[in-house]
Amino acid sequence: MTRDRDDGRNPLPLVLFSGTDDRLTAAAVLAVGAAAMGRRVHVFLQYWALDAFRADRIAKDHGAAPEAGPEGRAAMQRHGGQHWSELFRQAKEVGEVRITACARSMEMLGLSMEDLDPLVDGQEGVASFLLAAGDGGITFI
Amino acid sequence: MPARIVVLGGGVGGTLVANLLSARLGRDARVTVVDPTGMHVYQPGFLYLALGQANGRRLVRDERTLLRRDVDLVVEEAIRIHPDAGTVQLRRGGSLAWDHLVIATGARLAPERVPGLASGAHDFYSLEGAQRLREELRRFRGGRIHVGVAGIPYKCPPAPVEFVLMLDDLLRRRGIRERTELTLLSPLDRAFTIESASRLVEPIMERRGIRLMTFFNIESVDPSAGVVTSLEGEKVETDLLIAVPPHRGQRVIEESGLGDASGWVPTDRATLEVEGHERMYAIGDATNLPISKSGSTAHFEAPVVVSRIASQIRGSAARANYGGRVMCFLETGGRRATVLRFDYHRPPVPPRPSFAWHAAKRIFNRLYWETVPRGRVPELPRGGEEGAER
Amino acid sequence: MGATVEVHRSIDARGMPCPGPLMSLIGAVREAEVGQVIEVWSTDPGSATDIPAWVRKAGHDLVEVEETPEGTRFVVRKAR
Repeated sequence: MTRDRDDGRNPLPLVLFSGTDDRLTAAAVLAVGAAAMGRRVHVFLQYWALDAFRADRIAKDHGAAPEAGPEGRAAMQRHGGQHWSELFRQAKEVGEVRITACARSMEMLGLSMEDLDPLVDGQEGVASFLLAAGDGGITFI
Repeated sequence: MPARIVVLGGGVGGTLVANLLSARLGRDARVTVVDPTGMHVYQPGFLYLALGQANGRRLVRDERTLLRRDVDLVVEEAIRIHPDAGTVQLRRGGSLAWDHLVIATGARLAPERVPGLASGAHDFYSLEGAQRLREELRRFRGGRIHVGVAGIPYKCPPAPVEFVLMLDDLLRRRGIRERTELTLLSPLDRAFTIESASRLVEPIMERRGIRLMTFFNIESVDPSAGVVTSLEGEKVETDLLIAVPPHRGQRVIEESGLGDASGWVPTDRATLEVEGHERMYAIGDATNLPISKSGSTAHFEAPVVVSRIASQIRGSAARANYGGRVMCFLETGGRRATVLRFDYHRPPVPPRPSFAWHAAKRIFNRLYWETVPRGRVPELPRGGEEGAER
Repeated sequence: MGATVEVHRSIDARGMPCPGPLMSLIGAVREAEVGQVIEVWSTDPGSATDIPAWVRKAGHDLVEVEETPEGTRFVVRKAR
């Protein structure tokens, strides 16, 4: 049977910059959805998102973006749901999801691969990520 | 002179086969789909409809909109297949000649085969049945609900387990779970036929207080007394019975003398040829193969038939074989699901139920119209072992 | 050597875990006449226990179980 997966079939390149739980959860849900649709997801971690993926910090409280405010946080609490790291894990189980760390951010934060949660598959530079992203747009969270 | 190919049935199998044949053969073939209603129904949606989670209108589409332009559609009932003459007789008197025939006629429900079932039980195996059940569940205020099976084989083997778990969710949301006794009547000695999947769902059922009665094959129903009797000799009393009805092959198969005792078409498990007829193929629910009657089976069988017919037309050796590939989701309630992927050589290894697989199923449901019938076969979510047949 | 039993319906469920050999057997027994014989081929290791268990509970006869390299053959007569 012909595999109708032309490799450019709408891959979803996601750049994660923000390190708060709300934004990381939003990104994780997108990754799950895309993976479930058979789209390749390529997540690129920069700055505070990369920091959130530190093995010793990943499960900690990363707070919410300022615009959430107390009501927003309460709503998130009530809504519940799984932690974004678990959602990323599940997304990998369901489809092709690759998570890489931005080499420059690694340097800035003084990190090496051993400091990161196993969810992170490797590190790469911006150019390499952009090449892999192809001609489509890039989503920045 | 283009080869004439007739596809009986405009369901998932027939539609996909017709579209793939037309794409593959172009002017070398004339492809015609014959369907009695001309409406394509997304049957996996019935379960959601019954639970108030889907809109019936979104489960049905005009078959013409799902077929490629150069595929003909004849909206008529086929009443007789004549293999030697290479024709199909239509209800209103016409007849279609074919060089190759694909039987994708599916299965019909036959509740009359079980005494008391039609009036004594609900089901989610037809649009009307699912709608009636939805109304019944809306009225339900508490009592005993039994979910069971009144005939084998039936479409979508996981459905009773999925239904009972999702019904548990619904009753909890409505705040009446405490007032309801929920029981799954399983034909087997466990909740589900695939043991590894059964081991995943049985603890979930137990945690939720869903009772499991084993080796209970519904034999008859006494609607006024609310009593259900099994062919193993047991009886239960219920306030609401939801039962999978007996299934049979379509009448055209039986009347053409092509079916076995239950109207299923004897089919080769690898070549998908109808036994004894080299220009005739059968796919999907219509076959006698003791394989899952599920949309995914037809979906994976279709390209094999297309390849073999193309080989026959072009005079090359047919190489494609169906490897038994099936992929079914199994909702386990609480917005989680697992997936059953297997083929003739690789048994299923269902993953731990997760939100992601539940999302995958919901997304597949939403994308169905844009992908499967049009022949744009998406690479279904994998994440592991896969049967690739060539 | 015993007489060969005449089989009315043969089901090859090898490599088909779903609905599975036992379910397919149950379906065939439901449709059969009393006295008729159904055979099921299975590669599922669980069949060795679950087929005889159902046959016993449903009151039918397990006529024969034959192990071969290609799979196991279960022969059942509908007794009631």
